[in-house]
Amino acid sequence: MKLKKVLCWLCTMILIIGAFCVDASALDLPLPLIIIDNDPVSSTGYSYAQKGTVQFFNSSLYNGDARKSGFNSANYYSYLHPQKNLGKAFHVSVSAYLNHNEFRDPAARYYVLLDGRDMYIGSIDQYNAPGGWNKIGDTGEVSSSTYYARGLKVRASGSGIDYTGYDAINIQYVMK
Amino acid sequence: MKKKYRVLSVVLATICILSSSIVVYAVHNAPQYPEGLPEMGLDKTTYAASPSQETTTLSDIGPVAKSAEPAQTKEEIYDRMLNSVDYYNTAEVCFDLFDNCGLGLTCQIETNLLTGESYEAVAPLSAGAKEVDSNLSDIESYADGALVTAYYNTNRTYAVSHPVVARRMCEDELDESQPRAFINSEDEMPCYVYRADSTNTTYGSNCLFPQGITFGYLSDFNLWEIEGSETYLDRDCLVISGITTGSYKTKTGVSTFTMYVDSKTGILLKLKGLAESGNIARSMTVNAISVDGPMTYSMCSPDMSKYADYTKLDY
Repeated sequence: MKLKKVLCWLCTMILIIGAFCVDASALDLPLPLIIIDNDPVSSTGYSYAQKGTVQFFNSSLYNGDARKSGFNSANYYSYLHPQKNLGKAFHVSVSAYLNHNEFRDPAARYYVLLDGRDMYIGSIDQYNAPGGWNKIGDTGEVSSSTYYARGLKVRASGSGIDYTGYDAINIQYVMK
Repeated sequence: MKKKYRVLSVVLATICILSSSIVVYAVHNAPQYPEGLPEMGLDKTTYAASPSQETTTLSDIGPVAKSAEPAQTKEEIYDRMLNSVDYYNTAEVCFDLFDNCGLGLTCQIETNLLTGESYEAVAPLSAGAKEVDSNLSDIESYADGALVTAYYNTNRTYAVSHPVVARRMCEDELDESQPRAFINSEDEMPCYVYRADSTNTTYGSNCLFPQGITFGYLSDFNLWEIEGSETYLDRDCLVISGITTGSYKTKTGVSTFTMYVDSKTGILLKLKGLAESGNIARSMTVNAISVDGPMTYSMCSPDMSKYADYTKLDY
Protein backbone atom coordinates (compact mmCIF):
# COMPACT_ATOMS: atom_id res chain seq x y z
CA MET A 1 0.00 0.00 0.00
CA LYS A 2 2.78 2.29 1.00
CA LEU A 3 4.66 1.40 -2.18
CA LYS A 4 1.62 2.34 -4.27
CA LYS A 5 1.44 5.73 -2.57
CA VAL A 6 5.11 6.36 -3.17
CA LEU A 7 4.74 5.36 -6.82
CA CYS A 8 1.74 7.63 -7.24
CA TRP A 9 3.63 10.49 -5.67
CA LEU A 10 6.65 9.87 -7.89
CA CYS A 11 4.53 9.75 -11.05
CA THR A 12 2.80 12.99 -10.11
CA MET A 13 6.13 14.70 -9.49
CA ILE A 14 7.53 13.45 -12.77
CA LEU A 15 4.48 14.77 -14.62
CA ILE A 16 4.66 18.17 -12.92
CA ILE A 17 8.40 18.56 -13.48
CA GLY A 18 8.01 17.31 -17.06
CA ALA A 19 5.35 19.88 -17.77
CA PHE A 20 7.68 22.66 -16.62
CA CYS A 21 10.65 21.31 -18.50
CA VAL A 22 8.97 20.85 -21.88
CA ASP A 23 10.45 23.22 -24.44
CA ALA A 24 7.70 25.60 -25.50
CA SER A 25 8.74 25.26 -29.13
CA ALA A 26 8.12 21.52 -28.90
CA LEU A 27 4.45 22.36 -28.51
CA ASP A 28 4.39 24.12 -31.86
CA LEU A 29 2.27 22.41 -34.45
CA PRO A 30 3.71 22.98 -37.92
CA LEU A 31 1.15 22.43 -40.64
CA PRO A 32 2.36 20.73 -43.82
CA LEU A 33 4.42 23.01 -46.07
CA ILE A 34 2.24 24.51 -48.79
CA ILE A 35 3.84 25.03 -52.19
CA ILE A 36 1.81 27.04 -54.67
CA ASP A 37 3.08 27.72 -58.14
CA ASN A 38 1.81 30.65 -60.17
CA ASP A 39 -1.29 29.90 -62.24
CA PRO A 40 -2.18 26.71 -60.35
CA VAL A 41 -4.66 24.35 -61.97
CA SER A 42 -7.96 24.30 -60.14
CA SER A 43 -7.71 20.59 -59.31
CA THR A 44 -4.95 21.44 -56.81
CA GLY A 45 -7.44 23.44 -54.77
CA TYR A 46 -5.31 26.54 -55.20
CA SER A 47 -6.21 29.66 -57.14
CA TYR A 48 -4.89 33.15 -57.73
CA ALA A 49 -5.78 36.79 -58.15
CA GLN A 50 -3.63 39.38 -59.84
CA LYS A 51 -3.35 42.86 -61.20
CA GLY A 52 -1.03 43.97 -63.97
CA THR A 53 0.87 40.71 -64.44
CA VAL A 54 1.58 38.61 -67.53
CA GLN A 55 2.50 34.96 -67.72
CA PHE A 56 5.71 33.93 -69.46
CA PHE A 57 7.67 30.74 -69.99
CA ASN A 58 11.27 29.71 -69.48
CA SER A 59 12.95 26.48 -68.45
CA SER A 60 14.67 28.19 -65.50
CA LEU A 61 11.31 28.84 -63.85
CA TYR A 62 9.43 26.56 -61.47
CA ASN A 63 7.40 24.21 -63.68
CA GLY A 64 8.59 26.26 -66.63
CA ASP A 65 6.52 29.40 -66.16
CA ALA A 66 6.06 32.46 -63.96
CA ARG A 67 4.41 35.86 -63.99
CA LYS A 68 5.89 39.31 -64.08
CA SER A 69 4.58 42.82 -63.79
CA GLY A 70 5.92 46.30 -64.25
CA PHE A 71 7.24 47.89 -61.07
CA ASN A 72 4.13 50.00 -60.43
CA SER A 73 3.26 49.39 -56.79
CA ALA A 74 -0.41 48.85 -57.66
CA ASN A 75 0.57 45.55 -59.30
CA TYR A 76 0.30 42.36 -57.28
CA TYR A 77 -0.16 38.61 -57.43
CA SER A 78 -2.03 36.59 -54.79
CA TYR A 79 -1.57 32.87 -54.20
CA LEU A 80 -4.77 31.53 -52.67
CA HIS A 81 -5.42 28.27 -50.83
CA PRO A 82 -8.53 26.96 -49.06
CA GLN A 83 -9.12 28.80 -45.79
CA LYS A 84 -7.13 27.52 -42.83
CA ASN A 85 -8.07 28.07 -39.22
CA LEU A 86 -4.88 29.07 -37.42
CA GLY A 87 -6.34 29.30 -33.95
CA LYS A 88 -5.44 32.09 -31.60
CA ALA A 89 -1.64 31.97 -31.86
CA PHE A 90 0.56 31.15 -34.77
CA HIS A 91 3.43 32.29 -36.93
CA VAL A 92 4.04 32.06 -40.66
CA SER A 93 7.18 31.89 -42.75
CA VAL A 94 7.42 32.25 -46.50
CA SER A 95 9.91 31.38 -49.26
CA ALA A 96 9.87 32.46 -52.88
CA TYR A 97 11.35 30.56 -55.79
CA LEU A 98 13.34 33.06 -57.87
CA ASN A 99 15.46 32.14 -60.85
CA HIS A 100 15.17 34.55 -63.74
CA ASN A 101 17.15 37.58 -64.84
CA GLU A 102 14.02 39.61 -65.55
CA PHE A 103 13.05 39.52 -61.87
CA ARG A 104 14.63 42.81 -60.85
CA ASP A 105 12.47 44.34 -58.15
CA PRO A 106 14.86 45.65 -55.48
CA ALA A 107 12.36 45.00 -52.69
CA ALA A 108 9.30 42.97 -53.67
CA ARG A 109 6.93 42.89 -50.69
CA TYR A 110 5.31 39.76 -49.28
CA TYR A 111 2.12 39.72 -47.21
CA VAL A 112 0.16 36.87 -45.63
CA LEU A 113 -3.57 37.14 -46.31
CA LEU A 114 -5.47 36.86 -43.04
CA ASP A 115 -9.19 37.44 -42.67
CA GLY A 116 -9.22 39.87 -45.55
CA ARG A 117 -6.24 41.89 -44.38
CA ASP A 118 -2.61 41.73 -45.39
CA MET A 119 0.06 41.08 -42.78
CA TYR A 120 3.52 42.16 -43.91
CA ILE A 121 6.21 39.49 -43.73
CA GLY A 122 9.13 41.17 -45.43
CA SER A 123 10.71 42.12 -48.70
CA ILE A 124 13.25 40.52 -50.94
CA ASP A 125 15.79 41.93 -53.35
CA GLN A 126 14.85 39.98 -56.47
CA TYR A 127 17.57 41.76 -58.43
CA ASN A 128 20.38 40.19 -56.41
CA ALA A 129 18.69 37.01 -55.14
CA PRO A 130 20.36 33.77 -56.30
CA GLY A 131 18.40 31.01 -58.03
CA GLY A 132 16.42 28.72 -55.75
CA TRP A 133 14.23 29.09 -52.68
CA ASN A 134 14.73 32.41 -50.97
CA LYS A 135 13.28 32.32 -47.46
CA ILE A 136 11.99 35.80 -46.83
CA GLY A 137 11.06 35.78 -43.19
CA ASP A 138 8.60 35.05 -40.50
CA THR A 139 5.71 37.05 -39.10
CA GLY A 140 6.76 36.36 -35.53
CA GLU A 141 4.14 35.11 -33.14
CA VAL A 142 0.70 36.49 -33.85
CA SER A 143 -1.88 36.09 -31.15
CA SER A 144 -5.30 37.62 -31.24
CA SER A 145 -8.77 36.54 -32.18
CA THR A 146 -9.01 33.44 -34.36
CA TYR A 147 -7.44 33.96 -37.76
CA TYR A 148 -8.22 32.32 -41.04
CA ALA A 149 -5.39 32.28 -43.54
CA ARG A 150 -6.06 32.41 -47.26
CA GLY A 151 -2.62 32.63 -48.83
CA LEU A 152 0.03 35.09 -49.81
CA LYS A 153 0.17 38.36 -51.70
CA VAL A 154 3.27 39.71 -53.44
CA ARG A 155 3.34 43.37 -54.30
CA ALA A 156 5.74 45.30 -56.50
CA SER A 157 7.84 47.80 -54.58
CA GLY A 158 7.20 50.70 -56.92
CA SER A 159 10.91 51.02 -57.61
CA GLY A 160 13.03 49.55 -60.34
CA ILE A 161 13.17 49.66 -64.06
CA ASP A 162 11.88 46.30 -65.15
CA TYR A 163 9.80 43.59 -63.65
CA THR A 164 8.68 42.12 -60.39
CA GLY A 165 8.60 38.32 -60.59
CA TYR A 166 5.97 35.92 -59.29
CA ASP A 167 6.91 32.24 -59.43
CA ALA A 168 6.32 29.43 -56.92
CA ILE A 169 6.10 30.23 -53.23
CA ASN A 170 5.90 28.10 -50.14
CA ILE A 171 4.17 28.88 -46.90
CA GLN A 172 4.77 27.29 -43.53
CA TYR A 173 2.06 27.88 -40.93
CA VAL A 174 2.92 26.95 -37.36
CA MET A 175 0.15 26.91 -34.76
CA LYS A 176 1.13 27.56 -31.18
CA MET B 1 9.91 -9.51 -89.38
CA LYS B 2 11.84 -6.57 -90.78
CA LYS B 3 8.85 -4.34 -90.25
CA LYS B 4 8.66 -5.42 -86.62
CA TYR B 5 12.33 -4.51 -86.07
CA ARG B 6 11.78 -1.18 -87.75
CA VAL B 7 8.81 -0.35 -85.51
CA LEU B 8 10.75 -1.49 -82.47
CA SER B 9 13.77 0.63 -83.36
CA VAL B 10 11.55 3.68 -84.00
CA VAL B 11 9.88 3.18 -80.61
CA LEU B 12 13.27 2.76 -78.89
CA ALA B 13 14.70 5.83 -80.61
CA THR B 14 11.65 7.88 -79.59
CA ILE B 15 12.02 6.75 -75.98
CA CYS B 16 15.72 7.62 -76.04
CA ILE B 17 15.07 11.09 -77.47
CA LEU B 18 12.25 11.77 -75.01
CA SER B 19 14.20 10.63 -71.98
CA SER B 20 17.31 12.54 -72.97
CA SER B 21 15.22 15.70 -73.53
CA ILE B 22 13.69 15.27 -70.08
CA VAL B 23 17.16 14.90 -68.57
CA VAL B 24 18.44 17.95 -70.46
CA TYR B 25 15.39 19.94 -69.37
CA ALA B 26 15.76 18.86 -65.75
CA VAL B 27 19.46 19.68 -65.72
CA HIS B 28 18.77 23.08 -67.23
CA ASN B 29 15.80 23.71 -64.99
CA ALA B 30 17.55 23.17 -61.65
CA PRO B 31 19.70 26.13 -60.67
CA GLN B 32 23.34 25.13 -60.46
CA TYR B 33 23.99 25.68 -56.82
CA PRO B 34 27.10 26.31 -54.80
CA GLU B 35 29.10 23.32 -53.68
CA GLY B 36 29.68 22.33 -50.10
CA LEU B 37 26.30 23.38 -48.74
CA PRO B 38 24.63 21.19 -46.10
CA GLU B 39 21.44 19.35 -47.02
CA MET B 40 18.23 19.65 -45.00
CA GLY B 41 14.47 19.99 -45.41
CA LEU B 42 13.06 23.41 -46.16
CA ASP B 43 10.33 22.75 -43.61
CA LYS B 44 13.01 22.31 -40.92
CA THR B 45 14.20 25.91 -41.15
CA THR B 46 13.23 27.90 -38.13
CA TYR B 47 13.16 31.48 -37.06
CA ALA B 48 13.58 32.18 -33.36
CA ALA B 49 10.39 32.76 -31.38
CA SER B 50 9.66 36.46 -31.52
CA PRO B 51 6.81 38.89 -31.15
CA SER B 52 4.87 39.83 -34.26
CA GLN B 53 6.25 42.70 -36.30
CA GLU B 54 2.84 44.29 -36.11
CA THR B 55 3.00 44.56 -32.33
CA THR B 56 6.46 46.09 -32.43
CA THR B 57 6.61 49.61 -31.09
CA LEU B 58 9.42 52.10 -31.02
CA SER B 59 10.30 51.11 -27.49
CA ASP B 60 10.95 47.58 -28.72
CA ILE B 61 13.50 48.82 -31.22
CA GLY B 62 16.85 49.36 -29.79
CA PRO B 63 19.41 46.67 -29.19
CA VAL B 64 22.70 48.48 -29.63
CA ALA B 65 25.12 47.31 -32.31
CA LYS B 66 27.67 44.67 -31.45
CA SER B 67 31.28 45.60 -31.21
CA ALA B 68 33.55 43.20 -33.01
CA GLU B 69 37.07 42.93 -34.32
CA PRO B 70 37.34 43.56 -38.06
CA ALA B 71 36.63 40.45 -40.14
CA GLN B 72 39.76 38.83 -41.54
CA THR B 73 38.86 35.38 -42.80
CA LYS B 74 36.45 34.22 -45.47
CA GLU B 75 34.06 32.82 -42.86
CA GLU B 76 34.13 36.05 -40.87
CA ILE B 77 33.48 38.39 -43.78
CA TYR B 78 30.73 36.12 -45.16
CA ASP B 79 29.05 36.10 -41.76
CA ARG B 80 29.58 39.85 -41.30
CA MET B 81 27.92 40.64 -44.64
CA LEU B 82 24.94 38.39 -43.91
CA ASN B 83 24.50 40.10 -40.54
CA SER B 84 25.78 43.61 -41.24
CA VAL B 85 22.83 45.27 -39.50
CA ASP B 86 24.11 43.89 -36.19
CA TYR B 87 27.28 45.97 -36.46
CA TYR B 88 26.11 49.58 -36.81
CA ASN B 89 23.35 51.75 -35.39
CA THR B 90 23.08 54.47 -37.99
CA ALA B 91 24.38 54.85 -41.50
CA GLU B 92 24.24 57.45 -44.22
CA VAL B 93 25.31 56.44 -47.69
CA CYS B 94 25.12 57.61 -51.28
CA PHE B 95 25.85 55.15 -54.08
CA ASP B 96 25.56 54.55 -57.81
CA LEU B 97 23.96 51.42 -59.20
CA PHE B 98 24.51 50.46 -62.80
CA ASP B 99 24.12 47.45 -65.06
CA ASN B 100 24.32 46.67 -68.76
CA CYS B 101 20.57 45.99 -68.94
CA GLY B 102 19.54 49.60 -68.57
CA LEU B 103 19.71 50.20 -64.83
CA GLY B 104 21.39 53.44 -63.81
CA LEU B 105 20.55 55.27 -60.63
CA THR B 106 21.99 57.12 -57.70
CA CYS B 107 20.54 56.49 -54.28
CA GLN B 108 20.93 58.26 -50.97
CA ILE B 109 19.98 56.44 -47.80
CA GLU B 110 19.95 57.43 -44.17
CA THR B 111 18.87 54.83 -41.66
CA ASN B 112 18.66 54.59 -37.91
CA LEU B 113 18.37 51.00 -36.74
CA LEU B 114 17.73 52.05 -33.15
CA THR B 115 14.57 53.97 -33.92
CA GLY B 116 13.30 52.45 -37.16
CA GLU B 117 13.57 55.76 -38.99
CA SER B 118 14.96 56.08 -42.48
CA TYR B 119 15.07 58.31 -45.53
CA GLU B 120 15.76 57.20 -49.09
CA ALA B 121 15.95 59.20 -52.31
CA VAL B 122 16.37 57.62 -55.72
CA ALA B 123 17.35 59.62 -58.81
CA PRO B 124 18.69 58.94 -62.29
CA LEU B 125 22.39 58.09 -62.31
CA SER B 126 24.63 60.97 -61.33
CA ALA B 127 27.95 59.17 -61.18
CA GLY B 128 30.09 60.05 -58.19
CA ALA B 129 27.43 62.20 -56.49
CA LYS B 130 27.79 62.42 -52.73
CA GLU B 131 24.13 63.16 -52.16
CA VAL B 132 20.88 63.18 -54.12
CA ASP B 133 19.12 66.46 -54.79
CA SER B 134 15.58 65.69 -53.63
CA ASN B 135 14.22 67.94 -56.38
CA LEU B 136 15.66 65.53 -58.94
CA SER B 137 14.55 62.46 -57.09
CA ASP B 138 11.88 60.23 -58.66
CA ILE B 139 11.00 58.48 -55.42
CA GLU B 140 11.59 59.44 -51.82
CA SER B 141 10.57 57.29 -48.92
CA TYR B 142 10.45 57.84 -45.20
CA ALA B 143 10.19 55.43 -42.30
CA ASP B 144 8.98 57.15 -39.16
CA GLY B 145 9.48 54.30 -36.71
CA ALA B 146 6.04 52.87 -37.45
CA LEU B 147 5.35 52.95 -41.18
CA VAL B 148 7.29 53.32 -44.41
CA THR B 149 5.75 55.80 -46.85
CA ALA B 150 6.86 56.25 -50.44
CA TYR B 151 6.42 59.54 -52.30
CA TYR B 152 6.38 59.34 -56.09
CA ASN B 153 7.51 62.78 -57.18
CA THR B 154 6.86 62.24 -60.87
CA ASN B 155 3.16 61.48 -60.35
CA ARG B 156 2.82 63.55 -57.16
CA THR B 157 1.32 60.59 -55.32
CA TYR B 158 2.21 58.71 -52.18
CA ALA B 159 1.48 55.34 -50.61
CA VAL B 160 1.97 53.82 -47.19
CA SER B 161 4.10 50.90 -48.14
CA HIS B 162 4.51 48.62 -45.13
CA PRO B 163 5.16 48.59 -41.38
CA VAL B 164 8.66 49.33 -40.16
CA VAL B 165 10.82 46.30 -39.48
CA ALA B 166 12.57 46.47 -36.12
CA ARG B 167 16.21 45.50 -35.83
CA ARG B 168 16.73 42.28 -33.93
CA MET B 169 20.12 40.70 -33.46
CA CYS B 170 20.89 37.57 -35.43
CA GLU B 171 20.62 35.31 -32.39
CA ASP B 172 17.19 36.77 -31.62
CA GLU B 173 15.97 36.27 -35.16
CA LEU B 174 17.37 32.93 -36.28
CA ASP B 175 17.98 29.69 -34.44
CA GLU B 176 21.70 29.27 -33.85
CA SER B 177 21.73 25.91 -35.61
CA GLN B 178 20.05 27.34 -38.70
CA PRO B 179 22.37 27.27 -41.75
CA ARG B 180 21.80 30.35 -43.91
CA ALA B 181 22.34 28.47 -47.17
CA PHE B 182 21.60 24.82 -47.76
CA ILE B 183 20.27 22.32 -50.27
CA ASN B 184 16.62 21.47 -49.78
CA SER B 185 16.52 17.70 -49.45
CA GLU B 186 12.98 17.56 -50.86
CA ASP B 187 13.74 18.94 -54.31
CA GLU B 188 17.54 19.36 -54.32
CA MET B 189 17.15 23.10 -54.83
CA PRO B 190 19.35 25.63 -53.06
CA CYS B 191 17.66 27.53 -50.25
CA TYR B 192 18.74 30.82 -48.70
CA VAL B 193 17.47 32.12 -45.37
CA TYR B 194 17.20 35.89 -45.11
CA ARG B 195 16.86 38.13 -42.10
CA ALA B 196 14.33 40.94 -42.05
CA ASP B 197 15.68 44.12 -43.63
CA SER B 198 15.69 46.56 -40.74
CA THR B 199 17.25 49.33 -42.85
CA ASN B 200 13.64 49.88 -43.97
CA THR B 201 14.79 50.93 -47.41
CA THR B 202 14.30 49.64 -50.94
CA TYR B 203 17.88 49.75 -52.23
CA GLY B 204 19.73 49.19 -48.95
CA SER B 205 20.17 45.54 -49.90
CA ASN B 206 22.82 46.65 -52.40
CA CYS B 207 25.22 47.91 -49.77
CA LEU B 208 23.97 48.34 -46.19
CA PHE B 209 22.56 44.82 -45.82
CA PRO B 210 23.79 42.84 -48.83
CA GLN B 211 22.26 39.43 -48.14
CA GLY B 212 21.27 38.53 -51.70
CA ILE B 213 24.66 39.61 -53.06
CA THR B 214 26.46 37.61 -50.38
CA PHE B 215 24.43 34.47 -51.10
CA GLY B 216 24.82 34.90 -54.83
CA TYR B 217 28.53 35.67 -55.09
CA LEU B 218 30.03 34.20 -51.94
CA SER B 219 28.15 31.12 -50.73
CA ASP B 220 30.53 28.86 -52.65
CA PHE B 221 33.82 29.55 -50.86
CA ASN B 222 35.80 27.90 -53.66
CA LEU B 223 34.89 30.67 -56.09
CA TRP B 224 36.44 33.68 -54.36
CA GLU B 225 39.46 34.88 -52.43
CA ILE B 226 40.37 37.73 -50.13
CA GLU B 227 43.00 39.63 -52.09
CA GLY B 228 44.04 41.95 -49.29
CA SER B 229 42.86 45.08 -47.52
CA GLU B 230 42.53 48.69 -48.61
CA THR B 231 41.17 51.90 -47.21
CA TYR B 232 38.23 53.27 -49.17
CA LEU B 233 36.28 56.35 -48.09
CA ASP B 234 38.13 56.17 -44.76
CA ARG B 235 36.79 52.68 -44.09
CA ASP B 236 39.04 49.63 -43.74
CA CYS B 237 37.94 47.20 -46.40
CA LEU B 238 38.69 43.67 -47.42
CA VAL B 239 39.12 43.33 -51.16
CA ILE B 240 37.49 40.20 -52.52
CA SER B 241 37.71 38.83 -56.01
CA GLY B 242 36.11 35.81 -57.57
CA ILE B 243 34.13 34.24 -60.34
CA THR B 244 30.49 33.31 -60.73
CA THR B 245 29.13 30.11 -62.19
CA GLY B 246 25.84 28.43 -63.00
CA SER B 247 22.52 30.16 -62.67
CA TYR B 248 23.91 33.22 -60.91
CA LYS B 249 26.25 33.87 -63.81
CA THR B 250 23.32 33.50 -66.20
CA LYS B 251 21.16 35.79 -64.12
CA THR B 252 23.64 38.58 -63.50
CA GLY B 253 25.76 38.32 -66.63
CA VAL B 254 28.75 38.64 -64.30
CA SER B 255 31.72 36.40 -65.00
CA THR B 256 34.31 37.85 -62.61
CA PHE B 257 33.88 40.31 -59.78
CA THR B 258 35.67 42.48 -57.25
CA MET B 259 34.18 43.68 -53.97
CA TYR B 260 35.27 46.13 -51.30
CA VAL B 261 33.66 45.20 -48.00
CA ASP B 262 33.90 47.21 -44.79
CA SER B 263 35.66 44.73 -42.50
CA LYS B 264 34.06 46.10 -39.35
CA THR B 265 30.41 46.21 -40.39
CA GLY B 266 30.14 44.00 -43.49
CA ILE B 267 28.70 46.91 -45.49
CA LEU B 268 29.46 46.53 -49.19
CA LEU B 269 31.22 49.63 -50.50
CA LYS B 270 32.03 48.57 -54.03
CA LEU B 271 31.02 45.80 -56.40
CA LYS B 272 32.33 45.58 -59.92
CA GLY B 273 31.10 42.65 -61.96
CA LEU B 274 32.56 42.06 -65.40
CA ALA B 275 30.95 40.14 -68.24
CA GLU B 276 32.98 37.60 -70.18
CA SER B 277 33.61 40.34 -72.74
CA GLY B 278 35.38 42.39 -70.07
CA ASN B 279 32.69 45.06 -70.02
CA ILE B 280 30.92 46.01 -66.83
CA ALA B 281 27.84 43.85 -66.32
CA ARG B 282 26.91 45.22 -62.91
CA SER B 283 28.41 47.74 -60.56
CA MET B 284 27.62 49.39 -57.28
CA THR B 285 29.86 52.15 -56.00
CA VAL B 286 29.44 53.96 -52.72
CA ASN B 287 30.42 57.60 -53.17
CA ALA B 288 29.97 58.77 -49.58
CA ILE B 289 29.38 56.99 -46.31
CA SER B 290 29.07 57.82 -42.64
CA VAL B 291 28.59 55.05 -40.10
CA ASP B 292 27.34 55.80 -36.59
CA GLY B 293 27.68 59.50 -37.26
CA PRO B 294 25.31 62.25 -36.11
CA MET B 295 21.69 62.20 -37.29
CA THR B 296 20.98 64.28 -40.33
CA TYR B 297 18.37 66.80 -41.31
CA SER B 298 16.39 64.51 -43.60
CA MET B 299 15.57 62.10 -40.82
CA CYS B 300 15.44 64.36 -37.78
CA SER B 301 13.19 67.07 -39.12
CA PRO B 302 12.14 66.36 -42.67
CA ASP B 303 10.21 69.05 -44.49
CA MET B 304 7.02 67.21 -45.40
CA SER B 305 5.17 70.33 -46.57
CA LYS B 306 6.34 69.76 -50.15
CA TYR B 307 4.18 66.64 -50.28
CA ALA B 308 1.05 68.44 -49.04
CA ASP B 309 -0.73 68.31 -52.39
CA TYR B 310 0.22 64.71 -53.18
CA THR B 311 -2.62 62.25 -53.76
CA LYS B 312 -2.74 59.18 -51.59
CA LEU B 313 -2.76 55.85 -53.40
CA ASP B 314 -4.97 53.27 -51.75
CA TYR B 315 -4.39 49.63 -52.51
